Amino acid sequence: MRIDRFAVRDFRKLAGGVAVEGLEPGITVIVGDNEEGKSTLLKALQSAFFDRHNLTGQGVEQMMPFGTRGVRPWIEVEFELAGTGYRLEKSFGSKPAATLEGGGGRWESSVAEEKLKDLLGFDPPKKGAAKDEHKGLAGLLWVEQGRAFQPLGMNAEAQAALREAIEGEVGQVLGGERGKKLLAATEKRTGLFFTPKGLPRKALTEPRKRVEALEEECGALEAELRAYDDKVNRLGQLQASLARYERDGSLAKAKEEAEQAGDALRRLEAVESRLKTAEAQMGQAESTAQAAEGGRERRAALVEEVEAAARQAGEAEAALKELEPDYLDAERKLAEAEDTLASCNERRGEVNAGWETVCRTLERAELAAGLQTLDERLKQAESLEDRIERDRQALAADPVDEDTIAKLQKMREEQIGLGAALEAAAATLAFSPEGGRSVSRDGQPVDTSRPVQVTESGVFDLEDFGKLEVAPGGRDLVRLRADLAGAEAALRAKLALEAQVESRLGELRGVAPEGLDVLRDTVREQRARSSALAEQDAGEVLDVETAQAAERAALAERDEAERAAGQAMQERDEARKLHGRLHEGRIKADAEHRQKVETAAGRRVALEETRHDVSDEELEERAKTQAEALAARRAEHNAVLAERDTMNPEALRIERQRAEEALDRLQAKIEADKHAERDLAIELRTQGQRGLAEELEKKTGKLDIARSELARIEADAKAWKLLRDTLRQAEREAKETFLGPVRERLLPYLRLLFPDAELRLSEDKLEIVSLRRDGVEEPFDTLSFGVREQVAVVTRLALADLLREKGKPVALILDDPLVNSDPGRFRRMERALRKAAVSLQIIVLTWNEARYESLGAKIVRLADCRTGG
Amino acid sequence: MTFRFVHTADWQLGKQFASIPGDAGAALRGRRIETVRTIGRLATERGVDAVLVAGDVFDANAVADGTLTQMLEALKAFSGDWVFIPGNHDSALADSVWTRLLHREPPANVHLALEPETPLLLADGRAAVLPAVLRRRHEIDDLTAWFDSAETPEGAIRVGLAHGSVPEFLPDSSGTPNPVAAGRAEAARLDYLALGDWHGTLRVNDRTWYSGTPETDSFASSDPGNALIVSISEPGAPPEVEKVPTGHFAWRFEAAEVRSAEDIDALDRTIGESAPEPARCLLRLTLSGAVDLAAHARLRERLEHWGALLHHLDVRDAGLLDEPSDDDLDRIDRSGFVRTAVERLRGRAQDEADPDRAVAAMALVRLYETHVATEEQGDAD
Repeated sequence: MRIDRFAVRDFRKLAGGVAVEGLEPGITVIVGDNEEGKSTLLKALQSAFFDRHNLTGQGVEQMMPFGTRGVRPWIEVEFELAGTGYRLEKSFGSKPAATLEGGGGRWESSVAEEKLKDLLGFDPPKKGAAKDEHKGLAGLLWVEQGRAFQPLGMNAEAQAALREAIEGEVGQVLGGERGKKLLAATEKRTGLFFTPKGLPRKALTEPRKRVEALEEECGALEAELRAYDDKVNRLGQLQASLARYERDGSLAKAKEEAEQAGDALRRLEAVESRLKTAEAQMGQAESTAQAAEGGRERRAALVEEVEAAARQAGEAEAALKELEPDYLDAERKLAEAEDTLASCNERRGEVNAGWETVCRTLERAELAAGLQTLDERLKQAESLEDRIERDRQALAADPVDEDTIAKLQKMREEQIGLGAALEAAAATLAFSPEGGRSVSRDGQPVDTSRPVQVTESGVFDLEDFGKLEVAPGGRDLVRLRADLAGAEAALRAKLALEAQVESRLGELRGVAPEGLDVLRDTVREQRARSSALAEQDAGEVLDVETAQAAERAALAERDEAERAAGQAMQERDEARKLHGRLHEGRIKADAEHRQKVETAAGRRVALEETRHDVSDEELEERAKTQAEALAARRAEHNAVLAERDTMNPEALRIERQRAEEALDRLQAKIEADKHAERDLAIELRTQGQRGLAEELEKKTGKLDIARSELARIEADAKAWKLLRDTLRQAEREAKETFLGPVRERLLPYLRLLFPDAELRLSEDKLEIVSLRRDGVEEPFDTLSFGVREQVAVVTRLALADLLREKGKPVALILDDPLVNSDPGRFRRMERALRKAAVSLQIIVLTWNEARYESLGAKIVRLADCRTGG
Repeated sequence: MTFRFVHTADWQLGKQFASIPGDAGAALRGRRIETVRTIGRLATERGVDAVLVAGDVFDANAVADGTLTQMLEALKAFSGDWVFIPGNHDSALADSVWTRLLHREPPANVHLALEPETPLLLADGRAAVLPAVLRRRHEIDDLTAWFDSAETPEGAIRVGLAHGSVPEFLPDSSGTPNPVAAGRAEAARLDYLALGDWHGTLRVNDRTWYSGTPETDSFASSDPGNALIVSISEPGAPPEVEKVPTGHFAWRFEAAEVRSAEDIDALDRTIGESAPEPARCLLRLTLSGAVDLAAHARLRERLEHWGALLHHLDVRDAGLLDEPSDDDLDRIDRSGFVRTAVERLRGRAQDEADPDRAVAAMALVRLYETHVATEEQGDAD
């Protein structure tokens, strides 16, 4: 469908006439200021196509221009549909009229409107003005101002047309009402078994629990019945066992065996008693025989002892005699050695006295030589001492003392002070001789180029002038200097005398290092010693060397005497040792001999005494008799022992123990079995009354029923679940498939706006549901106004594409559709509009001419379309 | 003078029929005691000398005391001699129903033959009953062997009473417990050998019979629900054996293949013929074949009908497959996602490799049923 031109007159705001010419097959933008009537143009077109011409009442009143009366709202539209051009003209109000011309035909009034209805496919209202639901596809594609951001709100005709278009591509994939009902019923039935999350409900869990509970109860009953059967078997065994005891006479047999074993044991015990008596008698005979034999043995031993003692006494005597010669020889040798030693000692005394005399002679010679030297040194020392004494006296007379030295020090300090003062106050003479004349002082030429400082009196010779005496001011330094020189000379003389005394004292120490008094004492002592020696040994004083030679000869003699005395003493000691040893051996042998003699005598006396009591023959006889008695007792004992061993006592005892224990145990066993049998029988009778088998069978039956019921319910639940899941899946896929053609056309538009976004439509109402961006599903009504209007417009573009392709009459009229879009998004929408405009006519009504200039579309100003009143 | 007696066995008193739920099971339990009275009345009416019961009087040794009491009470219907031997279900163990009965000191006309190899003289010595006493559940030896050498009074009719299997009548006789030689009656010069264990009435030879249980207790037995009245005129004379029905409930077994609506009608007729008195009939119905969903719904409706009429209906339909027809599926929906789901479920139901094949088939049936229900609801609206 394409609208080529239209004219409006006397319609609402358009009190005059407007003719919009030359509408493009693509986009045309009609611009009009607010209140200029641009939105009225859309109302007028809607009235032309969808309002009945003979509309009355409020519907017509709303068409009337404001504040005018007696006019007829009039609209004329020229359009093309499926290649055929049409002209539609409608007047409302006092003389309503409708005319449709096209394709060689012309229709008037209601017929014209019927024809229009057939051409465009809408459902006009029975009465009153046409609303959205009466406008067919225009209800979807002609968007009034301020409604672009709202949901599509498709009317039934538009939905039907769209479904037809879609099913024209994909066929009938949705199940319609029947499908919904079946799915709802299936959901309901499945919901009886499963929660929405797929967990089992009571309808499933209760039968399962019931089966489990019954299984447990059956298990318990089976166990109880098994226990019951086991007890029955046990009772049978007990009864069989008791019957066997009875049948076999087991108890009587056991008793008999026990008695027999008891008898046998008693017999054994009698034999054992006899054996005990025989053993005692044999023991007694053994003691007696042993006593007799002992007496005999002790006598023989005593005889032997006597003989041995006599023999030993003889041997001791012989040994004593054998020692005697050696002992006498040793005694003689000892006496000889003692004599030799005494003579050697005498000789040594004599030689020693001679040597001592020679030693004194040597000392006297050495004293005499020493005294001569000492006398000389004493004389020299005494002379030195005299001289030192004289010097000391001279020093003591010298007036220089401590005070003199203090004065001298003071004078020196004064001289230094005066010198300095003189220098400070000295006159400075500057000579300026003329004609090269010279100046000298004390004969020494003076350098006249420099000033001269005069610190002491002096005389200057001035050439060609004469002398000039200069005396500097202050005390007389010259006098002071003379005094000082005198004092220093006196001090020097005293010091020289002191040095001489010190020198002589040094000499004296060299002659008499120990002091003069010691030297005098030494001379005196040596002289006294020499006199004493002279008194002891008369004769001449020998010279030292002679005396020394005599001393050496006497010493050699003394050493020889000492050596001979030592050897004699050693020989005497050896003789004494040998003599001692032999003396000791002799004493010992003597004692041994004496003791043996005494012992032999003692044993002999003892033997005699015992023989006196009992003779040897009597003892022999007694031993023989007792030995024979013992042999008889032993034979008797062995006979009883053999008798006992033949009875096999161990076997008899084991047998009796076995038989008694067997009897005890058998009695206890039979008693216990009887008790057990009685108790078990009572217990089983009580248990049997319960009817365990019946209980179990009942319970097992219930379990079987519960199991099959569970199986049935589970199978049913599984079937319902599978049915529901399959239906759900099929429905989901059907919806996907159904909306496929829309999605296919919508996607390119959407990409221009929101890359990677998906738009979801409901397949039942064909309404926008949500926009999915970045993985987030945003319901339509939560989107911003801008996004809502953009999404709604592109969806209309896509649906219009689909409808046009299927031959439906579509043209888009959008009254200010993008007022909420920012410039960036508006630019993208321009692209979408231009893309759609390739195959669709789009008429945009707006007040904002500037905004649409960039669209590159034809712009028609409403002001230019006025046709006057 | 003729010795006449009732030969019965396998009363299985105390059997619970627990797999048959509710009142139906309770009625079966109560009926077993009632059948004892029926036998007692029969014995009284026919004026027999004795009733010989060949074992398995009780279903187990561990039955409740109440069952014993009820049994002793029911025996009062006949004042003549009752002779009981233990069977494999109630063998004479150290503690058993028999020890408990002895403890209660039963009336003098109630004879519990529990002593092995001890003949019992009846009818003033005209007849000697030789009992084979099972003292264990399973005996390897033939407990009737002693009959051959058993001494009985001169002129007494010799009747053997035993519980066990005749190996010659079994397909695999090796290791058969409680064996009874088929030729025992002849070998032991018995005039009659009354056997128990086999629940259907069965003639082994002229002198050897199984009476069968007097009240059927399973679908497996052949010719159950009878007692035998045996008359022997003198030693050596051939016994006259009369089979008298005593059972109240008929246990029927039917197998049917169902593939069409006609088959369902035929099945309906078969059940009607098999259970002329439905309230006294227990029916096990084993179904095989394959039906479409419409037929399945019809079959279900018919089975519910019979289930309400019969004492008990046990349907085994594991062998019956659902094969939805195109019509079935078209009826659910011809297009749209429901149809897609239907096709998927059918594909899975037909895929033998799919482990959830049966679930898918059942899901289809449920879908069909839901469809029918929503349609009906739509119609009602």
